[in-house]
Amino acid sequence: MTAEIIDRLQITAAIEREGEPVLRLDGVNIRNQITGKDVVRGISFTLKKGKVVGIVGESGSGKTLTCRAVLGILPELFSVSGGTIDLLGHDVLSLEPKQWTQLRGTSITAVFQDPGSYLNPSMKVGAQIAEVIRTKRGVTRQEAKQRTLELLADVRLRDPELVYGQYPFELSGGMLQRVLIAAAISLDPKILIADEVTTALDVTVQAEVLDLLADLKERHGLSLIVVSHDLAVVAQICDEVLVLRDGEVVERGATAEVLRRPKHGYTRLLIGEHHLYGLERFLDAKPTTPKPRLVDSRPILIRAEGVCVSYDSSTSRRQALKDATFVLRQGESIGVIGETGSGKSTLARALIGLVTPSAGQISIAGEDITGFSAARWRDFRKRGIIQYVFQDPLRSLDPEVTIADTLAEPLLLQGMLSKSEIRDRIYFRLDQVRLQRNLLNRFPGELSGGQRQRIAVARALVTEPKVLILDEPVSALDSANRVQILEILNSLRANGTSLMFISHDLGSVAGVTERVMVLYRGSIVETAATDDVVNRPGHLYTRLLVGSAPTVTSIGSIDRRSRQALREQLEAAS
Amino acid sequence: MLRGIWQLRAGKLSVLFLSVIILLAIFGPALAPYDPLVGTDHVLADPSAQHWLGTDYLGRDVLSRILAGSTISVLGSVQVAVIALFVGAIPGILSVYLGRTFEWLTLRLVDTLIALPFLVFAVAVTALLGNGIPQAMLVVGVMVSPAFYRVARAAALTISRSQYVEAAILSGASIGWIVRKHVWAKILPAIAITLANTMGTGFVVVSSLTFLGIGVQPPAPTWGGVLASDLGYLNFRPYAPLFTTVLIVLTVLAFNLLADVIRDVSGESGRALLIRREKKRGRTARQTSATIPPTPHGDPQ
Repeated sequence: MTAEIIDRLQITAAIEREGEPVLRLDGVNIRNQITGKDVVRGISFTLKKGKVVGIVGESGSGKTLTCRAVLGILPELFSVSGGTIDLLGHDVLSLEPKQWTQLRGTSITAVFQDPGSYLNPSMKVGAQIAEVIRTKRGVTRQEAKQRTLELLADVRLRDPELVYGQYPFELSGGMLQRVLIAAAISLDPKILIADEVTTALDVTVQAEVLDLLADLKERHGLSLIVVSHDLAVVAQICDEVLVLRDGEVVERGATAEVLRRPKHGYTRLLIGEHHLYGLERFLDAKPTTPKPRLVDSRPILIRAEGVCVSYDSSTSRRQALKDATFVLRQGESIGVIGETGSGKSTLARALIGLVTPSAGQISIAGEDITGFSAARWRDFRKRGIIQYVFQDPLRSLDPEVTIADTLAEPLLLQGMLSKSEIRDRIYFRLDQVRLQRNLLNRFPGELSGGQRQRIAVARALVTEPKVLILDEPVSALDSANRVQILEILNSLRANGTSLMFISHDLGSVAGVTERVMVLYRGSIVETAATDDVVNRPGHLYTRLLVGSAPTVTSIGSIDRRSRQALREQLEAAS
Repeated sequence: MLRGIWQLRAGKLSVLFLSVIILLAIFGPALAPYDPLVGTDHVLADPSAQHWLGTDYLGRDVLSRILAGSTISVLGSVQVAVIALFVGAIPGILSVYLGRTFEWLTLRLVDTLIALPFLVFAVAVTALLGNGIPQAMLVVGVMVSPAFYRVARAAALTISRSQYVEAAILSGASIGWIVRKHVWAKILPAIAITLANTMGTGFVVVSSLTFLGIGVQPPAPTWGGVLASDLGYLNFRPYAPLFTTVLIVLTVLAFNLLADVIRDVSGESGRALLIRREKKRGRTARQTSATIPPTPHGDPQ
């Protein structure tokens, strides 16, 4: 009887210890001291031991500022103007710099987007982690190295000894992110803040990093704060989620609950995007029986046969594209997916003549472009049959040229239309991308990211092209803007423009394409109807890709172990 | 950009001072109260009501010599800057577009020019081409042109690799079009800065060359020449070199100040700076995108 009670008491104690809060924010306000406005208002949440809190919101919603406040590293012009932050019993706001030095790393730590910029490029990565351990723990060089190797193995880097002696530039983005995570957990912190850690990574690598975070949480009892603009990322591993908009929490609750029954319109918008333009559209639908393929009678616009591209350097020759063969028909929209370095951008650049194929033949609208001279290219391009939209509109629009002049440029180069005709054409395209005419006198720097990308699309459209090639057009945009671009693309499809949509993200490609081409290490490994690729992926890589794509309805369409297995198979095969 | 320069106090100051110098260069000789070439009996006189800045070792009025000498001094530095601009900046921009051979040749040529000792080369060339102001300035211009070459090339290089140039190429733009529409405006501030700097340098060089007697024959007055002759008689008029030195230093300073101001007001950061200042003065600045909320279309289910 007494033994039973003691047992039960111990269990409750254990449960309580498990759920003991490590970080508590209460009504935190963050003020911009120049404008005097509160950019973050009244954020409260409690992070319990071994739990994961997710913060979702678009850029400028205050999610990073909140994390920085917790870490005590707010940018100079910002300060916490109200509320309390309690970190393991310390009142964060009254800490002295010296106390902070003790707390950071050992109690709380963070990993950010763009891991490359957080490492010293001239120092071997192992030495950088070992240095932290040595200065903070006061151990010998040998012990620090030993511990670093353990950590590198801990974050599942395949060959810790090798990575230890490598420089940051020798590692891929995913590996760098792992190294940073290893450095972050080197001093056994209680809390890890992961701020957009997977944003710049490929979908498959993103899944690996998220798997790693979940794994570390289980093994080390870490508490995590996962910050992302992508609801699906947060959905993967978070217990609780906060949706931030303009510095305020608009929705909060258990992740499953929020995803199933979103209350706020903004959350519904975020989820709706995944249903309209994501994998969900296909996954939710009943798998259809493969329909008998009708003979496609639409005229062929692009025909590529055996196209190879190789980049020569003085020491090596790298084949970026091997034997690519495909056709794109009038009015067809085709998706090109693959990881970084798979050759998808090279393929696109070969089509528009920015790289010259080393072998093979490409014809566009009946013209063989492979042997074009510079002058022939200029004439061909002026006709504007094929147009290209870059990933980052901030870089592809001249910052010192007004929007009006940017849009007029292709038409001026053609030199066939009068001024008023050009103006009409610009107005028409501006309406099509749903932008106001008063933007015409502005400079790109004065527009928002989404507006800029719509201008880039409009510029590509002014010459009334038959084919539009889009290289990662929505990767740099947040949800609302992404939906707008995808809607515009769908309306173009309806008007009979052919699209070639390049992305590493199957989700956004799936929403606007009828056929998908999968590239892996320079080769086209699979071409099939979008529906088939999503529901019946053939190639190993496609299966991994589909299985890694984060979705908001199902937490990963295949589990961690199967993903791991697929990855190993893929490695073995190539 | 010009409006921007005028809005900054340093810009206003340097522009005003340089206008005075330019006026001096144009009207200086006419304003001279005495003939700068004719000596008098008042040798090495201290400043007085008759001779404001005193007289030199031949009894010539120093003020008149400085005024009369301003034309050659200022014109010389302008000549230097213009020659350097053409010899340096244009090949600098073209080196990015005209292919590997041209690039290699010009780069090596520029390296050679940088390696040559400045004054010695100038002395050698004037010995060869004859001792005249145009020859001397030509040499100096060529010698400082690497600065223009480097600046123009660096600016053109970053722009040529930008995506908006690629986008223009994809619309069928030629090299001429790209340089005109996308490159020129962005290189201009960098060149303007170098130009103002070179004017400063040119001024010092012209002064030091004439100080050495290169480029100008002795009786002709120049600022450097006046300085040289004053330096020879320090026992009698120890303060005398100050007049020309202060004038030269201030002019060079004004050019460098102008260069700084141009750098501050050009480009993205310059625009931001000006907008901030306009706001401070309570004028309505141009509306920025930050005030326009994105308008989502519909609420997808």
